[in-house]
Amino acid sequence: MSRGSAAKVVTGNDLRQGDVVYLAANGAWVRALQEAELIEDVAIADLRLLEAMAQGGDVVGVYLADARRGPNGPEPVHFREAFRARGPSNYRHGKQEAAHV
Amino acid sequence: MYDYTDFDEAFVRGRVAQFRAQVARRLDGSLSEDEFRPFRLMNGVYLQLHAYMLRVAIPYGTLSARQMRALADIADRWDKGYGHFTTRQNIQFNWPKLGDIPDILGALADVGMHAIQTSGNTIRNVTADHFAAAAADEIEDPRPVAELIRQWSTDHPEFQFLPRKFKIAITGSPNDRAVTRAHDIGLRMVRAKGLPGDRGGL
Amino acid sequence: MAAYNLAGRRDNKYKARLKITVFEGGLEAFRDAVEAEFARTRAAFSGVDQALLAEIEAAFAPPALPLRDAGAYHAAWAADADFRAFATQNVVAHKVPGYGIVTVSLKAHGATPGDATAAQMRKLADLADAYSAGELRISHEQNVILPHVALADLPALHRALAAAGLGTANAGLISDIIACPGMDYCALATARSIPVAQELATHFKALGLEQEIGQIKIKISGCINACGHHHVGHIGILGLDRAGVENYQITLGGDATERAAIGEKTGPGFAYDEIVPAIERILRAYLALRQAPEETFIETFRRLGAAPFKAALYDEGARDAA
Repeated sequence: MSRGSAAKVVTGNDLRQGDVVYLAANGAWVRALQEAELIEDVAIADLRLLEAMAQGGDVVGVYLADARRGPNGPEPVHFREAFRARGPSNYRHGKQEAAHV
Repeated sequence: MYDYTDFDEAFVRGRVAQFRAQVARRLDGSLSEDEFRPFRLMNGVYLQLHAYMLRVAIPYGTLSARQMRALADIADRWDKGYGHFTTRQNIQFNWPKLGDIPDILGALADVGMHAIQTSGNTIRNVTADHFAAAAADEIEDPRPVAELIRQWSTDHPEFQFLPRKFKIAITGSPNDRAVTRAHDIGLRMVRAKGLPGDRGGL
Repeated sequence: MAAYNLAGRRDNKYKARLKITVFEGGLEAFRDAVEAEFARTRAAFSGVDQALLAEIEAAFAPPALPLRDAGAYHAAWAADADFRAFATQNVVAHKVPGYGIVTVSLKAHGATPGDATAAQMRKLADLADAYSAGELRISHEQNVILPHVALADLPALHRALAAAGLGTANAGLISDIIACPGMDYCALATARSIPVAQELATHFKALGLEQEIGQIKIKISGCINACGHHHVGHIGILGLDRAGVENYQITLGGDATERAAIGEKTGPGFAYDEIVPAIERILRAYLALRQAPEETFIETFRRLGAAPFKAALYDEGARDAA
C-alpha cells in the first residue's frame, strides 16, 4: 500500500476463491504471508510487481504491501495487512480454518 | 405479498444467464479484471479483504418464509453456513467462490430474488419501515410505492451510471423507523385532504 | 434523478453524492433544476403509473388476522419473567387488536450484529409460517421482524425462539448495536467494527447495567462511508486509521428518527482497547445526570448538551479510576 522505504511483499487476491495470496521467491502464489518473498530493494519490488501484473490470470488487484523480517518469515507492518494475513476476528474462517489456528 | 410477474422473472433469468457467460469468460482468461469488474458490480459481487462477497437485495426488507429458506440453503451449500443482514435491509454472503455465483443467482431467481443494483452508481434497493402494514401508527403501507420505484429504477437506462450510488427510503408512519431524513431521497406518507378515502399522499 | 444525474460531480467520488450537489449549488438552484426537468417531461406522464400502483397495492393486501383469545399471553405474562422481559422489550403494538410485531434480535451478547446461521434462518422461516402469515422483515437495525403475531401465539413463539438462540430480549437496548462489517471483511474499511460491538454488548451485560441504561442507539461504522449510520447514533463510533493504528472517534446526540440530528464530535478519538471504557464513562455520566430513570440517554443529551458528557469522557482523573 504505502510507498515508504519498508521492505515489500507482492500480494493480491485469488481470482477463483478471493483468498489473499502472496508471491513467493520461486514465482508461485502462496496463501501464507510467512512464505512470501520479502523484497528489500524498492527497484526489485517494482519489477516483481510489474511481472506479477503482467501474468494476469489467476490473481486480482496485485500491489506491494509493506512487510518486515520476522523469525518465521515476513510479518505485516500495517494492521490492515495483519487482518488480510490472518482472517476475520469474529470467526475462525478463511486462513484460520486452513491453518487450524 | 408481492410476487414477481413474468416480466420480472424473465428479466432476472436473463441477467443470470448473461452473468454466467461473463464469469466463464473471466475464468478462461478472455476477460481481464478491468473488463469484468463492472459486470460483477452490476450483479452485487464485490471482492473484499478475504473473499468475494455477494449482496442480495431484499426489496423494502420484506421476505417470505420460502425466500428465507432459500437464503439458508445458499448459506449451507455455497457459503459457510451463515449470512449477514445489513443496515440497508439486504443480506450479504461473505465467502462465495466466483465460479459458484451464477448458480447462487439461479437459486435466488427460483424464489424471485436477485442481486441487481446492490452495487455500483445506481438507484439501490429502496428501503422501508420494517413495521410496514403492521405498525399501529401507520397512515398507509409504504411498500407499494417502494415496489413501484423498484420497477421503475431497475435497469433504467438513464440511471445506470449516476455520479454516485443513490439511496431512497420510505415510511408510511409519522414515527420514522426508516431513517428517511438520512437518505438521498426520503419519502414520508402524510394524510392529505382531498384524496379519495382519506388516502395518504407523499 | 435527472437533475442530479446532470449536476452531480463526477470528478471526485468523495464529492459525488446528492448531498454535496445540493450543498455546493444550493437548495434553490437544485429545486429550480428539478422544476425545469418536470416542466420538460410532465407531458409524458400519462397516469399509467397510477394503474400500475393500484395493481401493486392489490398484491400487498394485508393478511387475514382473525380475533384470537389472548388468555395464553396473559397466563405466560403472569408466570414467566423471561417471557415478560421479551414481550416488554421486543414486541410492539400491531394495528390489529390482539396482535403484536415481534423483533427477533440478531444481537445475542457477543454475537456479530446481523449474522444468522442457516439453521436460524430456517427456524425463522418455519416460525413465520406458523405465527406470522408467512412473512418476515429485515430491519435496517439488522434484526428480523415477525410482523403479524397473535398475542395468543407469543408464548409458544418465545419458547421456540429461545431454543434456537434467538430469544434475546434486548431490542433497543445498549447491546442492540448496528455495525458495518468493518475491517474484518470490507476492503474499504479503515478499522474494525464487529469486535467493538461484541465487546460493548458483553461488557455492559457483565456490568449488569443494560436494563438500567435503557433505550439507547449505538451505531458503529468502520470508515467514513458510514454503513453503520454512526452520524445518527445516540452514540456514534467511527473507526479510522490514525498513523497505522485503529482509532475510534465518538459522536453524541445523533438521531435517526423524524427528529433527525447529526451527532456532535466529542474530540480526540480512542485506541481500540480504550473505546469500551470511553463509552462506559459516557454512560456512567448519563446515569448520574438523568433526572429520573425514565429520562433516556438522548433526552438527557437534549436537555444538557454535550458538555457534561465530554467532561466525563476526557476527565483524566475519572479515566485513572476506571
